[in-house]
Amino acid sequence: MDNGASSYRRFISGDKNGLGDIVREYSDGMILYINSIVQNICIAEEIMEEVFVEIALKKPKYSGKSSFKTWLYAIARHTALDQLKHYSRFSDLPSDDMYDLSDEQDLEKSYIRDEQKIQLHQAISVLNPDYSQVLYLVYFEGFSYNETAGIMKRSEKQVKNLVYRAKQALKKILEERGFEYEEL
Amino acid sequence: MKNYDERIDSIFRKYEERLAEKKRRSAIIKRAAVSSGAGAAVLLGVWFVSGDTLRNSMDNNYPDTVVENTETTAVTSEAVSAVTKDITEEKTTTTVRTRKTEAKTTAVGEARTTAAVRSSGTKEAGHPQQTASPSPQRTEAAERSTAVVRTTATGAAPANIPTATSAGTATRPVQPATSAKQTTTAAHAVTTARQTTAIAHVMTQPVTAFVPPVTSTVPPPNVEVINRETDEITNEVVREYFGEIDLFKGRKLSWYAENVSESVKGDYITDGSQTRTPNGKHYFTMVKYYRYNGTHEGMPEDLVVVEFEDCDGLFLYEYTEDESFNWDYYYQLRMEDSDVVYKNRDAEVDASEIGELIGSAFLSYTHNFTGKVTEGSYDVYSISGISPEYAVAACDDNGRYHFYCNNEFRPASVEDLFEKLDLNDLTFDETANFFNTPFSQHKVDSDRINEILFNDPNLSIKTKLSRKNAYIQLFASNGHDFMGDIIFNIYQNGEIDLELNGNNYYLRTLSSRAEELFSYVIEN
Repeated sequence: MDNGASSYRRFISGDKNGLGDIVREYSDGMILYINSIVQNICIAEEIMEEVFVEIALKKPKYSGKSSFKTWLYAIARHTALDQLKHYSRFSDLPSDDMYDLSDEQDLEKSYIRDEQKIQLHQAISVLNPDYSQVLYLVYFEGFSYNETAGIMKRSEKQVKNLVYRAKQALKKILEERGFEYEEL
Repeated sequence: MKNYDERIDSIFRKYEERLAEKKRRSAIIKRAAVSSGAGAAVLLGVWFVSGDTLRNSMDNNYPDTVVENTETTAVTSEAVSAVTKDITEEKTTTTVRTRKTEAKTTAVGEARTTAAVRSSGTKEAGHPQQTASPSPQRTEAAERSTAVVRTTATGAAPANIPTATSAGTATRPVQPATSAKQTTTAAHAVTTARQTTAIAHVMTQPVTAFVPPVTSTVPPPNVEVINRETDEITNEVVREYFGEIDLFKGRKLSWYAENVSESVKGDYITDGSQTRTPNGKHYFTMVKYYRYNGTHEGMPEDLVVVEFEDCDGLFLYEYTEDESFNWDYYYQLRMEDSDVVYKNRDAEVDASEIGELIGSAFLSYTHNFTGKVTEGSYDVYSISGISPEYAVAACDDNGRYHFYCNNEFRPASVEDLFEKLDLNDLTFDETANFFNTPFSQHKVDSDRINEILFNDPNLSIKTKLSRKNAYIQLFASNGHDFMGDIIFNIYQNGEIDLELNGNNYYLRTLSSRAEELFSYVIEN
């Protein structure tokens, strides 16, 4: 498996497998990230597909100024926000009936693996979307503050503040749930 | 949850579908372009080749038509009535079907009916062709309809409504019973259309009900006059350094002190008459503020003191020689009716504190001071308490906030705002009605005053954004004396102050009235 940038170059030059490789590499994490924005795993999966369809159609230029993953997640965020607007405008947000908790749990098990981290992720998912996003990007995807700022269209300083507040909120939730935790 | 292969299949399937759809649309456009072009060429060719012949032919045929019309003058009034009935029924059906109140369409139907009745009743114009050819009547009817609607909009709606009814009544003597009923229905539809149109028109009329007193220092009725001590510190100074203070006048406030020494508390804050609420906050109404020349040990010598109702005093800031603030004597004020907190220089305002993310847009703007054009994709936020109709905040890639206020850009709703933003061409230039201020809350000199230009060269409004994103000031001017007599402070919660000749009139104005005020300023 090559890295995303070279796979993308292959796709641009006509090799469809390039996009397939990117999907295999990044789609799981992307779904969880989008889920932190839209709070619905089914919609998140649809939006993930939409992200790749848009990439396939428009073939946006990847300049290499940031890591490929950062670039990809920034597109994902933009698409997710667009889709949210769409849903809010047409009020066709799928009902809770479509929300399949087992899907999210399966994905967490396969992608995050570590049980403690899964519990942490579940706690994060009840935070407000900004907090949820920033914590997911920093602590689960391993993005730096700078990269997170690039994805979320914030300044680095803002991201730091956001992380701080998010951790405070998370701490409160974990305490309410009776978790014992180490300092993040 | 799909597995990887299913995801890839799904993605490529959607990709193929979109691609096919794109190609199909492209082909349709091309075909339409080609066919319309070819059709136009054929028509042009026909006209070019046989234009003279056709015209000659039509000219030659025209006298025959006249002769036929002349012959039909003997048609009986019953026949005219029958024709009229047909037309009326047809138009009635049309009118009822198109109840979306296109007043013009309805008026045409009415005009046709009326014209037919007139012709059959008087028997002056018994040409069926003439009755069936409604173009002159249509023009007349349209004009009349316009006149009626206009009159209705100015407040004479009830007087005009019977006009439609009388049209229906006049029709009845020459109509069969069923037709009369239908005509009545049509007349009712006309009435409804007129009423609806009148209401719509009234709603779009400029609001003239609100007229602030612009030439008199007498307080306008129904406003609360706030006493302001201005002997020791001028409005100018306060506005320059403590613009945000204006936010609190006349408001119930809660406050709590931070980093304030005990001696200061002991000397200058009394709680003997404070109102203590169950949650422990103290609420006061600010009544005046003044410069304090303190001499107490350890106290700054130059302070601005704010007095609250039922409270001896509460100092704010220290002046220093370099005209900066000594933030050791800072305290926070929290407004009772909002969560807005005006923070000190160490605080950071986050987007979530600006308001709600309502979309993203590609924006470009010209900074009025530097002429610098900046464009890019921005996240657009509503501002707490301010309708997006008036102002939005946009966050750029550097995390700076820009505030846009545009009196022409007035979306009807947030959805409407989305639609407009989605156009990706929301562009402000130096002649547009906007202001923008790179958001930097911690510097006094970050205030920006930008000019709003209007088509009317005699009208100019300058806006000032508080350095703490608290309120917008509009300095109405006649084009000559900026910082003139009228200052509007438009607050985050939509309330508005009017400063008139140095006096403050606190207008407890809701956001709906803010629009009136904007209208007033713009139109006057």
